[in-house]
Amino acid sequence: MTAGGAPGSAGGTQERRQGTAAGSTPGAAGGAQERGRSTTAGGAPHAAGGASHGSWTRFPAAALALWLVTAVKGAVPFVVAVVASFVADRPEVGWMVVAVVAFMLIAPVLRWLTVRYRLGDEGVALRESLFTRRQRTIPYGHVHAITVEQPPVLRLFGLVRLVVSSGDSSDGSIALDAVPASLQMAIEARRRAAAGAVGSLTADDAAEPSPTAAAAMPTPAAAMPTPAAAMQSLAATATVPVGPAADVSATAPTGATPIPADAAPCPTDATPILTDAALAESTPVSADAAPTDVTLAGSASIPSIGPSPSSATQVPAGPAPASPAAASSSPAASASSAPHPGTGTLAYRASTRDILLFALTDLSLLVWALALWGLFQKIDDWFPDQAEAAVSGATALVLAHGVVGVAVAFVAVLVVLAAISTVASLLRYAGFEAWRRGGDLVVVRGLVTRRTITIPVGRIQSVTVTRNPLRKALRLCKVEVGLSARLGGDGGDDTSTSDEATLLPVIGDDRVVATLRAMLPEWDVRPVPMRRTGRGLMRMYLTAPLAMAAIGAAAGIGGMAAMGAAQAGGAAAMRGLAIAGGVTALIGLCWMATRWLKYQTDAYALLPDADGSGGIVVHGTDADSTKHAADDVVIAPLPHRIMVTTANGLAMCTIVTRRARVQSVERSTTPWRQRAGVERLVMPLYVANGPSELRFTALRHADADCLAAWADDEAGADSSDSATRA
Amino acid sequence: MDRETSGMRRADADGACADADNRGGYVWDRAGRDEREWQRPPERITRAWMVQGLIMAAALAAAAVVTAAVCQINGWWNFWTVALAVVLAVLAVAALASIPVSNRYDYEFNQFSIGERDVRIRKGWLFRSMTTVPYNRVQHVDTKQGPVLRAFGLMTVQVHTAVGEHEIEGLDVDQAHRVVELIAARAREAKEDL
Repeated sequence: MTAGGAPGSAGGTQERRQGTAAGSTPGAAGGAQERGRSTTAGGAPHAAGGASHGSWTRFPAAALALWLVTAVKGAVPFVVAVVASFVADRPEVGWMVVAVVAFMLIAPVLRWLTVRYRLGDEGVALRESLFTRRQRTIPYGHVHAITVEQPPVLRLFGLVRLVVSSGDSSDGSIALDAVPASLQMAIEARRRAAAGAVGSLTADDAAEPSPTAAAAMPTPAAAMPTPAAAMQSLAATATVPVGPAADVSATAPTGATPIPADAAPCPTDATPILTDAALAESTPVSADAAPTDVTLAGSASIPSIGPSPSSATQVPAGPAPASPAAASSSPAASASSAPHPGTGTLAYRASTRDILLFALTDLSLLVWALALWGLFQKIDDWFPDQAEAAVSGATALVLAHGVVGVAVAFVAVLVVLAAISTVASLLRYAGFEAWRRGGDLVVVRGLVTRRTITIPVGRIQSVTVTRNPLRKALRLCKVEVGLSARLGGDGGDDTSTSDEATLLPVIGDDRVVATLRAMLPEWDVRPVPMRRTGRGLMRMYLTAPLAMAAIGAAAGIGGMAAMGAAQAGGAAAMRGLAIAGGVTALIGLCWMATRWLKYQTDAYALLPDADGSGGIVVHGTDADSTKHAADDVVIAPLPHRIMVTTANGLAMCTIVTRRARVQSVERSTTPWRQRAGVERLVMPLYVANGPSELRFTALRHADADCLAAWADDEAGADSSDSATRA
Repeated sequence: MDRETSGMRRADADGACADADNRGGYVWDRAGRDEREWQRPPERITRAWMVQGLIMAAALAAAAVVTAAVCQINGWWNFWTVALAVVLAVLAVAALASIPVSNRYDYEFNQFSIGERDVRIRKGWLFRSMTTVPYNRVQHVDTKQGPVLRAFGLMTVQVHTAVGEHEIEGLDVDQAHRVVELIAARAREAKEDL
């Protein structure tokens, strides 16, 4: 590392500001700013992007064009508004508009002239020096995620939009709007080199024992006791599409899932996919050294445009092993020009069927429905004349046809919404793929704008599996990861942050465990016996909402009853009372439904740590243990994990997170609850893009003691802490 | 195979670490069965609370009166404005009535403990809460002093974590500074240990 020693500092992002009074013009590209570019100890591995890296670089001209277009787009509403409100009888207004638009266009030009980026020795840096010189550096060791997206416009120029996120909560990302695609590889390589130099990726503030041990994970060859076993392991991995493993590596849209759909799926199989990655990590020449790489990377060609169900079906559905010849037949695929995950292991690919399922089971359909309803209401205001007549005519028509007409209209609206949802989902998730590459998780998705998100596994702070009621009925679920940084920045065509950290948009309950194990063996997410905290405490859950609903209902009914009897003045008041009561009762009922679900689902399990003796053995089911005996690889799961199931609204979710994320333990009770031996416990979590707390609405003191002791580090690996406490 | 099942069993044991015969919850006992040293703010905090309660009640009452006056002058009386005024008035009375009760019992329960590994703060009598903040989660510590507390020479200590803050209310100014020093030092130690 250089003398700058950036990774040692605490913050994720370093910032320097200074006035430009010293006459440091933007053109004098920071000779003084450079901390002598001495050769690094880690050795910048592949200077993939050519000569420009390492020195301050101006964005390509296409970036200027992009910013100008964005500025014009931003100016359109303003111009329209001004022109519409001051009708064109006053020419000076027109000139004002021209001036303002010109000013709006100057800003991008100035920005383009003054902004530089650099891949320095210590980190990625962005320097803005228009009025205030502001330089941000994200050290390679602090990179939490890299998001790459390529809108069609940028694809024309071979450019990408690249966002480097750091752990800073405030302004911790650097967005490079249009940079050469090769830059991504350069950053990745440097990041990995930095991680290797430090020894582990995480100098995390929480300071759990390095969770990203992926790089330091035992490679299979090293872990195997005998060479023969090692050979067998390689063979087993190379012929991966055997039984359920094919299921993991490629989601065949034919849907011939060999695993029986079971309510509590047993982890049936998990190919030690990490081993490939570990191999690739330890041997930089990977492509030829490890045949395992070729197999998986080859069998799944990386699409650069759109969804490719065809390539998903390339993998034979049956147990026929993919021969190395077939695998090597598409070596060019991994060298395609678009942003791609490179060599790695395909852990999950969403077929078009999956995306459609996602779209149709998305309950935000209802939100859309409400929006549409609002629009429908607004139509009267916007188009007072003919449109209103047309609409009311249509409404009358529907009403005239009675129930059938209403039903048809309803179905029509639903179909429209489903179509909208499908299009939106396809735009976002088409060609969704999740790759495991060494210590990184790489997610590629998007129809028009391909987006590649690279997340070092060690930065993942939580894993959440969510089932909304519809998906629960269909045995589907959605998996998201919580990070310690926000992804993606501000740009992009879909700015909804909710889907940024989606790992698996939709997946069958029967496949989720195996897939997650392939992706995140460190997290070891699987069904475990849970301690249900709400058992027998239904009263505690339901009293408050029930009381609210009852009071509301009483007020509402009372108001309605009194409305008829009262005089004119009183009737209005009673009507108000009835409305207020009705609303209260409705809210109470919704609350009750949520509480009921929580009562049913609230549970926790303190997951076993890897104590010194070893860890969780990742292996096949016992039934075919002979076949998979060689696949057993000891992968230590992350220490101090907790699994919590709860209900969030009407959706049920399973959260797995780590103790280091728990910031405090807040227990609360009341005298009457205490008499029943019950309290409430909340553990606020420090996770961005993820759950903000673990909440147990009502649990017994002993459970609370247990959780508090776990959170308090007190017991360490010991489980018998409540005994010592008592 | 063996290891995995043992892992499962361990999880089970962990999950069931709260035995049926152990009722638990001793942290809630007023005597405090855990051997921790609990401190409490000086007794004059009850007077500060009383002043705060009176101010709150007065503000609510004033709001109710203003609502009533405005409605009366403009003739805006209807169900909703009546409801608003009534609710405000009821809240004002409740605030006034709860002052002696909460002063007496809240003070009883209002304690904090600066332990070896964490800070614990107990609050409330009717709605009791106990917050545990481990030192290695403490981001920073600072003090706060509103006008009422200043009049009584009291000071509030705020312990900040990455996602929120927790208050130790109404300490002597000297005591508050000592507490800040102590927590900061222990937090530093805890971070260095890691």
